[in-house]
Amino acid sequence: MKFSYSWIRSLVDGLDVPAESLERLITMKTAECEGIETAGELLVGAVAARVESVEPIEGGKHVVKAIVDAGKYGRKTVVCGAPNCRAGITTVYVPLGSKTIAGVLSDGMLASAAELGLSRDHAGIIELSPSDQIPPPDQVIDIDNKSITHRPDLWGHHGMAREVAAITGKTLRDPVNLSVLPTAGSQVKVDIEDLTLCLRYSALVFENVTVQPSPLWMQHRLTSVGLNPINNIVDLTNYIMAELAQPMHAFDREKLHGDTIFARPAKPNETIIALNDETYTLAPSNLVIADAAGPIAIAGVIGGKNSAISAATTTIVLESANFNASSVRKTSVDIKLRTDASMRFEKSQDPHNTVRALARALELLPVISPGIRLVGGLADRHADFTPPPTIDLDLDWLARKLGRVLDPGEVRRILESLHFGVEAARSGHLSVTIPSWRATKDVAMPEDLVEEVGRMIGYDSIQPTPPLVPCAPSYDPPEREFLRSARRLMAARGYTEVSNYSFISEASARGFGLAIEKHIRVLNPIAAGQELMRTSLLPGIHSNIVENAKHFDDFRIFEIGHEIHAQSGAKPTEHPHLMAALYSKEASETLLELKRAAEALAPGLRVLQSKPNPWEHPTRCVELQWREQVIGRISELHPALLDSGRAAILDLDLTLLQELKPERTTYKPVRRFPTSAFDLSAIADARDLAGNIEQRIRQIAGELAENVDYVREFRGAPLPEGRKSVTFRVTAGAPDRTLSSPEITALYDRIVAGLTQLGYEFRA
Amino acid sequence: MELLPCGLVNPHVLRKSGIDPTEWNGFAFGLGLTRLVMMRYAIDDIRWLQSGDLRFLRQF
Repeated sequence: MKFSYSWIRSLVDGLDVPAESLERLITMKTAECEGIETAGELLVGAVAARVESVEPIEGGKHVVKAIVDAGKYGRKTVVCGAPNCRAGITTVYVPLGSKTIAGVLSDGMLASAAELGLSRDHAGIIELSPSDQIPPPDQVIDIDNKSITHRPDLWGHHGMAREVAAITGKTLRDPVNLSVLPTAGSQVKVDIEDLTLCLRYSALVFENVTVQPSPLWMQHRLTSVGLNPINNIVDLTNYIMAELAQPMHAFDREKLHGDTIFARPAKPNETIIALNDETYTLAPSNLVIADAAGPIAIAGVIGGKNSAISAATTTIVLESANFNASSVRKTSVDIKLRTDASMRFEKSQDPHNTVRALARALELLPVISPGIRLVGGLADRHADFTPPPTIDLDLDWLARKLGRVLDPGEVRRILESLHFGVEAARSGHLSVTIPSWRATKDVAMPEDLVEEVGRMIGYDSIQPTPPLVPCAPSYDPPEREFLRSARRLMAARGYTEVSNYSFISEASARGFGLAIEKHIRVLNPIAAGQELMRTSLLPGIHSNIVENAKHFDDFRIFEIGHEIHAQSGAKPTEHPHLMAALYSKEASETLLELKRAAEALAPGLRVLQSKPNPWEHPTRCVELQWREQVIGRISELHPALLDSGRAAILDLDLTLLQELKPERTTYKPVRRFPTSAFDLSAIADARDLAGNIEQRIRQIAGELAENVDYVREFRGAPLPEGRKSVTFRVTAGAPDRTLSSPEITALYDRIVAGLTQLGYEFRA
Repeated sequence: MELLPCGLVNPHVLRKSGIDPTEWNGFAFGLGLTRLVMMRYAIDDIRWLQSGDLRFLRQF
């Protein structure tokens, strides 16, 4: 929400605080300001200027030489590129210094309305009528919308001026004079079907309307606060909305059917073409304003095109209504349209405000549409309004809540400056009446008054004291400790941690062959492509690999995050997983390195052959088993998922890993007798796992094999295609003696014979 | 810049949670850790933190 400083000043008598200081005060006491900017910088020194003559410039494309009478600056020669620059018009001259354009010395410039910040019109230079006054530049304070969502009254300048008056101790000026309103006897009737959805509908009818541009001061104010000037009637409704926070709408009276305006639920599939030229199909949950023929506005959101004001309009119905906040909000979400009106109504506007806006219009209209005449009286239907509630404020309790004792007179002064009614109740208590514009949703209980007093004395005026509460040192839960140790370990092995979003796209889940029905679907994704909760860390890790492969030839990354799995008839389950990836442009032993990383977390794990997942290389994938349970897998990413290079993936279920924990080691006496070692190379199927062969050697060798270690693997000539040679070092020994040479030979032969029986071969 | 948005818990919330608001106060706050990190390291765009881009991550 943008606030014009000059507008606020016009509503606070004698306001002498500069805009910069005011911004700070508002931030400290009312709402967060985001910045301050000047609206219409070029207006400094700008004057009305009459174009006396225009002549073409030789060789100058689209520019002409204009001689202008620039008032106090005298006669000036200006080079101008505007298509409407012609002798006789009055425009605006800005003294910007001189420069040569198209060979002609141009002194200053002629400006468009957009350049001056008066409107968005930049089609040509501005053309002034004799009555136009050039407004001075303004300063605009930008306030964070989310800091005023609880304050319907602050969605207009008068509400902010009330705050400013209270903060600075000045007097608020009310731009509204209710006594100008006519009494009953309107030409239009109002029929409200449900007074809980449309709390009030008020309207006036005018004739002899002249639709024309608004005066410059009004256009400037609207433009400064981000509203687009259109014509005097539409501008008036926006002007009053920006001033009083009351959205208004004007209908062309001649385009309405019948003399009754209905506020009713839309009929099923009823359509309306709105002012933005969009057609909306409505449902009975959407409230419409209608005439005898059909909808003429979507209540609280936008007006209809068919009854809109045009240049030919001569009579208007000016409406000022109040709608249920959540109804407007829901309709606005349904039709995906948020407007300046819906934004205000969804904050719960004060229904007392509708007639105030009409009274303001009644005084402004003759200024912007000379000759306009009010026809008939006021149409005004509304729900029964209950008198504003009063709150009992206990001053001792207030002091305890605030942490500061305040003089009762000070509390009364603050509340009254904000227009609360204050009466002394029983001793030490005040009886506080809430003003109607704060009573719709905002202030309802004593705690809300604590906030009012607190912010006005300034939270920074309260001495901070630590709370007196029992304290005990806290320890990290074991799960967090475990995850931290896993992180440290991976980082120490050279893996960089990444953190991806928990949302993935359905297309991506399909691409990796993940079962869609196992995913939790996000009802309102924050962005396209984030519609599912991930059941695997893979999509994120895969995209990390693809992106980083553009810049690096080799890298290691890992992520620790939750997998979320849908459960039929139960709440979804969440498990922390660790996924690591090792990428290399050139083929290298990526799988083995990942196995070592996994072993660091699960010492003694076993590797078992496994069926490939759709995203895995069809043969290069294994399951990891530890302490009789499958804890994860290591695999190579399917080559089709990468443009170049290879990536190996480790996936570990950290819940299982934490539950299982490494086995407690028990000391075994170191063997006193020397051991002997020999190497053994078995020729195996290329897809066989070294771990399998190692396991078999251990089984065959029995107790004499103290250790079996993998040494190396070899493929290629002279071995045939599809075969590999795997070398192990067997360390043999006995606890009670040194093994003799024949015993060792016998052990070697036994292993060779055993493996041969299982289909392994040995080179002669 | 908003770093630690905080405030007293609305008594209705306490009542809904079975806590007597005349006896207890609730204090709610949220630490914007990513914003602190951005300030500490002069990071210009919050999206870097979830980018997985090693050109960024390897600086830490």
